[in-house]
Amino acid sequence: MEYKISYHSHNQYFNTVKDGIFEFLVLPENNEDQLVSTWKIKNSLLEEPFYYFNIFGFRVCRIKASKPFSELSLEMKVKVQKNTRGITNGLLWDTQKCHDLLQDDIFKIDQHLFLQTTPFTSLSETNHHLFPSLQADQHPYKYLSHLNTTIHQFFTYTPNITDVHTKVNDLIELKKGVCQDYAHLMIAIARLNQIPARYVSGFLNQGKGYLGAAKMHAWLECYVPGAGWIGFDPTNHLKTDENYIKVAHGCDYKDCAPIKGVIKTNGKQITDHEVVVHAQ
Amino acid sequence: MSTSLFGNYEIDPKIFDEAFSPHKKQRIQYEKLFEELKNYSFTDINDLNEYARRSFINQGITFNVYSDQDTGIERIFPFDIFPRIIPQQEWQQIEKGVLQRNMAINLFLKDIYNEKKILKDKVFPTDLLFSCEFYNKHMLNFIPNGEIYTHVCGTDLIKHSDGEYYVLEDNARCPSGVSYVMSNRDTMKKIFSHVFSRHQVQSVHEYPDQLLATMQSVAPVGVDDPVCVLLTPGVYNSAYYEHAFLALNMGIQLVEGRDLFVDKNFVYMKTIYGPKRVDVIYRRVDDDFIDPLVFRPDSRLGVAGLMSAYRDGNVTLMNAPGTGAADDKAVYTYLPDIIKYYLGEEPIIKNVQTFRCEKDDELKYVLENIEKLVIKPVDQSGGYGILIGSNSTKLERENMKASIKNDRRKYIAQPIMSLSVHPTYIDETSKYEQRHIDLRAFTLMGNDRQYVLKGGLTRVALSRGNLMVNSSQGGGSKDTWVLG
Repeated sequence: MEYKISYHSHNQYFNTVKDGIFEFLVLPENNEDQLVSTWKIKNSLLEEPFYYFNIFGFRVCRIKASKPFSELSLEMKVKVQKNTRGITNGLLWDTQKCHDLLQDDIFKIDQHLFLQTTPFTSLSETNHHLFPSLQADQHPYKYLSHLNTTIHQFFTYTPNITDVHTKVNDLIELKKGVCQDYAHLMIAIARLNQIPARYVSGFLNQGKGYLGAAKMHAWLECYVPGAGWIGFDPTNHLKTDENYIKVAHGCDYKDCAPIKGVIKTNGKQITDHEVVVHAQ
Repeated sequence: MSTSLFGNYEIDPKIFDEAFSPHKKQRIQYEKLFEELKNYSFTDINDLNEYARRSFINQGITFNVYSDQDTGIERIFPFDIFPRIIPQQEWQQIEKGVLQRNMAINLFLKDIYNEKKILKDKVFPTDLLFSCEFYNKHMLNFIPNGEIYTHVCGTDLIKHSDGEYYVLEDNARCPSGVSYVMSNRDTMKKIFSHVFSRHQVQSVHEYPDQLLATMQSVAPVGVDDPVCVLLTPGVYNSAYYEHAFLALNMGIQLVEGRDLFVDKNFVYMKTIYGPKRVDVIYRRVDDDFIDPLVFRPDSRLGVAGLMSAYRDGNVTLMNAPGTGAADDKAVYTYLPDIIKYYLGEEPIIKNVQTFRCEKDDELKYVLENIEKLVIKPVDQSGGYGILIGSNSTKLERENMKASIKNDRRKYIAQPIMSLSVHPTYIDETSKYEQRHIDLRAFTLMGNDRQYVLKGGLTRVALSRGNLMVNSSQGGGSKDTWVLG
């Protein structure tokens, strides 16, 4: 399948910004299942973008304003070829072998970033019992599928109740949120059960009626022994497939924020973005 | 005693006195000094101390104290003119010992941010490392220029009643205090010049040159004549005097975050002649504040984009971010193992026995013996948050026990070490009295070069029996003479 994706972000400032530097993490990555064939990024300041790879290996676009401004928009147009990899091989390893790997010390050291809690994903002990835990005779893939359902059912999808700073403990009472919150909570539980889990940001096929498709979406990937990293989308109660175009992953939202900026200004600002994904 | 100055000096035989034996016999390295002091009266000493005090005020040598109530009280660092003297042989052991520690610490940091062999070999516990507040994922899979992490390290040493040195802690982040070493020496030379000139004292004034050479040695590959700067958080920082002092004496620019910017992963300094590329930054800004794009987004002290420029090898930061993982006080307890693991050597200087509250049996011991122990939070410096069991009230001990049980990883406990004492002139009693001291040794590590400042900072606890020597806890200092 081929996708044409356009991402458009728009920042408006009521007072002039004297100094500004922005970073965008919006370009889809190349991996086994997807290939970026062409891409183009334009910005309204007409600054020459600078690209570098972050600590997880994802391409960041940095725009540094060389003169004062009160508006910045950035447009990315990208074409991505996407194919689907079956996940049946995830079940090739028997349950015991999976558990042995998850308990292996060297494995835990190598995966430590995705096993540690972070400020976003730290769930207090009193809330642990609310979610199922991995049983000794349970295949991790089956467990994660079950957890995906649990998390999906736990929430009522509700925009504008939470924000980018919301932590998992706040979600327990709210039971409402958006994709970022679903992802953080499932990451927290997977990690509690010693399954490496990472936060993923990306785009969704807009022709399917999925929740969160109008903007950049968030889901997670868990490490299933024998199968590798498998994507789960608790918001839509799905496993990722050719309808998911991945941009980046990290420990939590902070590593994947699509836009970051350091600016010198005071007063109000409005930030928004639009996403259009055409499947061909 | 021949000299009247020390006729009424009282000796506690249970504690190691640096200048006198338990029977009040002068130690050999101090004999010449006592001989000189024969000609001095208490009035003379009083006057000299007063000159010293004025000299510090005139030089603007002050520091700020942080506490809950007040922010930034400016104080002078109390100074006592009677110097601490360390014989050459004793110093050589210290020097070897701190170098050994720092080599091991650097290898440890390189390992934990790359291959993690020490974890995989089960010499160091995985959970302990990853729970360190200062373990920094932005240092993963990256090796700084010259493979050096702790370019500047301050090792705090004490001498116990057994006469042996012990390391109390390693300060691997941004240790301060070195400017006092040089200012103390300047003051001593001015007011005690003839006494000073009759001793062969090792110089401390090459430190700024050594520091600059260290900076230059770790410049990015291919830079022949590196531009070095010192990055300060600004005038409100407790060590601002030191930042200004070091920059001035190295002949490099003292900059704040707003004076620098990053363009295409290179760092530039704003100058009246236009942007000038910067190659090495001695940063005295904490990890959390150095790059608002990566760490605290509200930081105004850092430079946006600095970390990616650093990871690209286009600029060197000293010390490297993430070195706090090595001076975590729980990590300290493994330093002897770390030395053996990387260097295959026995530690030259001992560690103080330490109990880790996260271990069940050790926690039990700590809770039962809290009066005999010093309790320290693993993540704080400057003596903040410490409880000395023997000098605490029952309520304080109970509160501490509750805090420990609440967050076991956060606390370690050590036996109350009897820090050695040193004759120190006390204004209130107008005589010399024993006061506890420690020693901060400063080590510089560069690309194929190492240096230990000969002397270091002797800190003095200014009230009787007090074991807290930190300047932020009202401690003072002495000039430290290493005999040549």
